[in-house]
Amino acid sequence: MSDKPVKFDSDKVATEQIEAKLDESVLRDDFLQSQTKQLPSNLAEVKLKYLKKTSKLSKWFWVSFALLVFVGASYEAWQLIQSMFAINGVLGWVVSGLVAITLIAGFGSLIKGRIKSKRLNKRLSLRTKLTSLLTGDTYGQAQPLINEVNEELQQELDIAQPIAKYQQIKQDSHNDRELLQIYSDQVLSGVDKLALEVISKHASESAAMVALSPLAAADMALVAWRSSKMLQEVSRIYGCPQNVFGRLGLTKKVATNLMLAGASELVADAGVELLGKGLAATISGKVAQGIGIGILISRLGIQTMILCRPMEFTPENKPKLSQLRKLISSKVLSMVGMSNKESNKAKDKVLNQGEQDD
Amino acid sequence: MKKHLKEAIALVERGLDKNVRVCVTGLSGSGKTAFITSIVNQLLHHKTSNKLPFWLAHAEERILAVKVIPYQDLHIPEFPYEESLKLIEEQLQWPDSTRNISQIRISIKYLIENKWIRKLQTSSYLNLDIVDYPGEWLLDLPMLNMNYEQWCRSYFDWLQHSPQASRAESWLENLNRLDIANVANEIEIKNLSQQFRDFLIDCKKSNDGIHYIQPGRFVLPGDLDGAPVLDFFPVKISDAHTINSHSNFSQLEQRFNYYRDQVVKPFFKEYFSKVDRQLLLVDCLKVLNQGYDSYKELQQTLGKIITSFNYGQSNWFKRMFQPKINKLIIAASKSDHVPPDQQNHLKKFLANMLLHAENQVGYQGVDVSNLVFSAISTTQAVAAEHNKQQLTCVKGIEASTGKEIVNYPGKIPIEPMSKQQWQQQQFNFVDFAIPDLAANQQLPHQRMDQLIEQLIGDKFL
Repeated sequence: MSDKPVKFDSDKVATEQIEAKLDESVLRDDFLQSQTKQLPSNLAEVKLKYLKKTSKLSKWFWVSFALLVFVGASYEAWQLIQSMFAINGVLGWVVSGLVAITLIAGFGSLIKGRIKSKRLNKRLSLRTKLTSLLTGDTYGQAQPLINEVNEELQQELDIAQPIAKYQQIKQDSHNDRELLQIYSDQVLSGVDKLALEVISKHASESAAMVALSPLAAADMALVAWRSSKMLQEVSRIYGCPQNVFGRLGLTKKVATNLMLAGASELVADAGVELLGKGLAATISGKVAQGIGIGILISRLGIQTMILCRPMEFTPENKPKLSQLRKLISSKVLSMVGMSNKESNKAKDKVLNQGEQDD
Repeated sequence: MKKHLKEAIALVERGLDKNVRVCVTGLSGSGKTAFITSIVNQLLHHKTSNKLPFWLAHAEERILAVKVIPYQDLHIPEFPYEESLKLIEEQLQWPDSTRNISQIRISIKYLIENKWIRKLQTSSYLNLDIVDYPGEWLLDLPMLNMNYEQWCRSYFDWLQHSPQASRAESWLENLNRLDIANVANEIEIKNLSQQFRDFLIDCKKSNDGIHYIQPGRFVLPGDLDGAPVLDFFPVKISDAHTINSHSNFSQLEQRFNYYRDQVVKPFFKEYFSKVDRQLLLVDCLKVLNQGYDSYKELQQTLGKIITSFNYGQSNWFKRMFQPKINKLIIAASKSDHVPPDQQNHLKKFLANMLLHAENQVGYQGVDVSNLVFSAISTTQAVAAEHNKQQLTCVKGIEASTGKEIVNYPGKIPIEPMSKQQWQQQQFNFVDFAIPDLAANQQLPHQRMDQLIEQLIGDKFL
């Protein structure tokens, strides 16, 4: 770009509305200039890159292992079909049909899942771009990315109104950081609220179910079912829906997050939530367990939100477990027939019930 | 008794921080009046506005009502908001430069967010006092820390630099004929004072970017016009002089002291010692147009002003008995004249220019922040092609010709420039006129919401 000033007559020059038609090199230059501090002052500036390639050996291990399993499974299936044919021809045909359907459906959903988890990866790279814009001092790069996010969100959500409001508020003088802040406040905060609602719904439902169900095995199945359902819905809200196999990846990531980021926190938090909460501890152990499960599930939900949101949360708008905790405990209590206000009465009642159950 | 009660209530309210006094400082022509008109306008239009996303309390829909209310300092004229707005909306003219001090008080009613205070009351109010005064007078501030001798020395230091040096020549010639050790000659002093004033006025009217025009009342006397206190000037001091009490020198010194102690000091004491927040408006564009000398001059002038204010961390105790400035916002005005992709450059330029002054103030525990804003936005951003390059320009009505133009002002540097680089760089920031505005509508602006948030955002508990 030239550095000399130019002045035109308005009717002699063709102008366009500014929409991100800017010189890339200049912008990159700006971005570099904006990073003035020599030492990274906080953790937000230094990050481990998303691991793309695993080492060759482990890759070969997984490939050969998968092949081995595949060969073993085919051999087993072949044997099964053969033995079935030996018993009865019709039975053999039915079984081989079933095997074929399983294979086709399995591979189909595997491929679909791969596609969708690609979408999650794309989302992650989009988010790194947005984060760098949020810390930099650039102009004109945010809008195309925001349009991309809008498109993805709108496939699953009806957010025409907040987007219209965002369009009204933004001015062409806003730089990238300001645009992203406005977008986050106007559009994404609404989406966050919706996600939190879904999480609290699922968490409190499963909490209540666990509180009421008599069997431990049923508890586990319930938790697995409800939390997978919740993951699906939350990821759909953020415009990167995940199906079973894709979700396995998500689940893995969420679990890793849970373990790495919050293992200690989880122990302490869950411990406090499970035992330290006066009300929950005093009423029935079963109800307390339900609330505990509900809180764990909402933790998982919040981790999913953090993973799927197109822009990273700031410390101010980060969803907090405490927002959901109250909701869950009150819902569980009301479901087992008590309200918070009557908790004094409820204590005796639940204790009595507990004794009767035993 | 009643008076005491009133005073006590005022004290408590100040302790609770329901009154915020914002002092809008800036050299003349930096856009103080336009800013005050715009901020009052934005606040009064809070109800229907969706152009204030960064004013947090407003975004949270906690602002209930805003009203201009009378203030207690009855001897200060009211800021002519209606008149300024009328001038802007109907005649599409920029408000005249301020000739006297004025004040406006805006009361903002808001919902309390803090969960502990909310238990006591659900809503509260914040009184925002904004003071407007001629920017020329601001330059007297550094005089407070000097005696006549020091002032003369610093003045002749300043006079050596171009472009003021050439303009002062004829006055200096006459000055050299005056023997300061002689018995005071009233007529001679008066004549030389008049010439000194003419020189200052000449500097002010010139377009060379002379900022440090001191003493301020000489160019804008206010109600002091013709008073003998304005009949003094700096003289060259050689150390060998033995000076008796009836000489020209002591006469001048007497007047200087009177000016300093009876005119400047009371003014700043009354209007600025009570200030909580300070906003310093800087017109960087003029400097960029004018070049290196003007840049250096502005840098020194602003540095002197910034460091002469009374700063300090204000806790509730101090705030109650001795309020001090705890926040300083240095803002570059007229951002609408700059293409949007360069507004960050402008901010950086401002920060570079005032690096040392900000540093010094920051050491005293004051929050210093920089901002680029436009009180009344007059342009649109457009992309235009020139020599096969895409340029981001601004489109608006040029003030001098009345024609609509598209302007690319040149690239604002983000690194400090050497004198040579300044000479190579060219800038052409054009003054824009106010475009046609709908009556009774919120004035178009850039980043006024961020300015409001930084000025008073933390007061909405």
